[in-house]
Amino acid sequence: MARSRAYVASVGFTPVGDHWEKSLIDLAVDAARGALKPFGKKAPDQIIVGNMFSAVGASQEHLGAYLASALGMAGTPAYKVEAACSSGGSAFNVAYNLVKSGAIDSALVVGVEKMRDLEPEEVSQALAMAESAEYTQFVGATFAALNGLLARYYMEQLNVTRDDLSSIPVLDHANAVTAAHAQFRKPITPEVVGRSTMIADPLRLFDCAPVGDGAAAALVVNDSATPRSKKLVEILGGKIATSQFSIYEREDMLDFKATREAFKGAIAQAGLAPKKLSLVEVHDAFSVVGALSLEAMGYSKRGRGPSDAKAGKYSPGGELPINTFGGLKARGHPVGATGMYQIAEAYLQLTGMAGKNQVPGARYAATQNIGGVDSTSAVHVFGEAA
Amino acid sequence: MPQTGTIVTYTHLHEPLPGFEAQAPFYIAVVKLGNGAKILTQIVDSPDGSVKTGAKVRATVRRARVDGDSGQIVYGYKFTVV
Repeated sequence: MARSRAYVASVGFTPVGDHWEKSLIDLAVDAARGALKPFGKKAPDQIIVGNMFSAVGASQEHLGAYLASALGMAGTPAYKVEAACSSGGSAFNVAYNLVKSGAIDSALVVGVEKMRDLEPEEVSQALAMAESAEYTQFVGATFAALNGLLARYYMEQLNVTRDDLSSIPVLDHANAVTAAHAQFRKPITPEVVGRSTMIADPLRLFDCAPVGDGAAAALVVNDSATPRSKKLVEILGGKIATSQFSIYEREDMLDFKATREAFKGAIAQAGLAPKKLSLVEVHDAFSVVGALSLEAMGYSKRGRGPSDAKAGKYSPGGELPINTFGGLKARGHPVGATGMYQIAEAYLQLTGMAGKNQVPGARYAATQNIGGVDSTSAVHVFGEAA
Repeated sequence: MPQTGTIVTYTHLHEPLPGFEAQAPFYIAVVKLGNGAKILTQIVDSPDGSVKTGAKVRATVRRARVDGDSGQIVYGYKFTVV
């Protein structure tokens, strides 16, 4: 086993939204077939599925073997990786490390989630499983509740205004207008965000990522398995980190330590300065989470993420474009699939296949995928293959 | 566990978890206890204006939720503004 370079050779994904006519495994197959095109009928060495709550959402576990069979690839080693909303990024990290180490030469990674078959309160229950049953679920707190009290703390401690915070969902929606696979393709204004239904004061409906179905996949290969015909993107670094589990247990609730450490690790592996990145796909499941993520990665000073976004720093043509296809708020957030959508989008950007959403001259990109309120963070850095 | 503490931050939750609908909307807060530990808890029986950052609170035993068809009552801690 020799260490090699590792690449994304191709990607596949479904639109995010309502897929009433498709089962969880149908969605996974659709995305997988797209990513497997360069391999023809050849099976990858492993199939790794990222998914958060198929047991609750689709009465289905054992996704690895089921997907391998559904693809006509029974016999291929296959299994699921779960890390709440960072399941997709975490599954990809496993594939990256296996392929990079030379333990295997190729892996298909598929992130998939089916959420729309559930009632809204069932979705809340399923998402709350990312937090402790004994101390967080026990008091009736949803995931939105934790982010709501985090948003209040952020705004009160660092003098962030409602209007500033709205600039992150506004940016996402603007970018999604031209993104064919995005769930919501309408532009919004800060006034719309500020007037939307109250969910967990001060967070409103348009601060929160929507509920949707979707699957996204990538084919990861090393130099021994590189398909000739396809455009390669090199995986330059990838790291998972964890924080103290729940925000209320942390000394500083405004420090996204998992993201800070994962980003630091991944960018060091890549040997790049953070300012070399052409774009970052940021995990903004809630507006406040997007802001704290940008601050943890060092792109904005503490408390300045939203005002920097408002000033255009993170918009197309700005210093560092983020969420180039709409991010979690507007592309959508089918939780276990989200990390793989981010990676698929980074691939499109670095191969010049991003269409109207193309960041001109994009050379390096990062994806940041959170589970819980930054309890887990999986960060990957990509670059054009030499 | 210390019986008193201070509200660090809070939210007013409109859409709670299943089993808590009858209590909604309600306050959920991070409370820093006298020994420095921080916990998540509901704030109950406190007038709207009184629930704010820095408010002093005291622990109380309350019904947390009612489980399943048999209606088993689960009790737990909640806090009230002093």
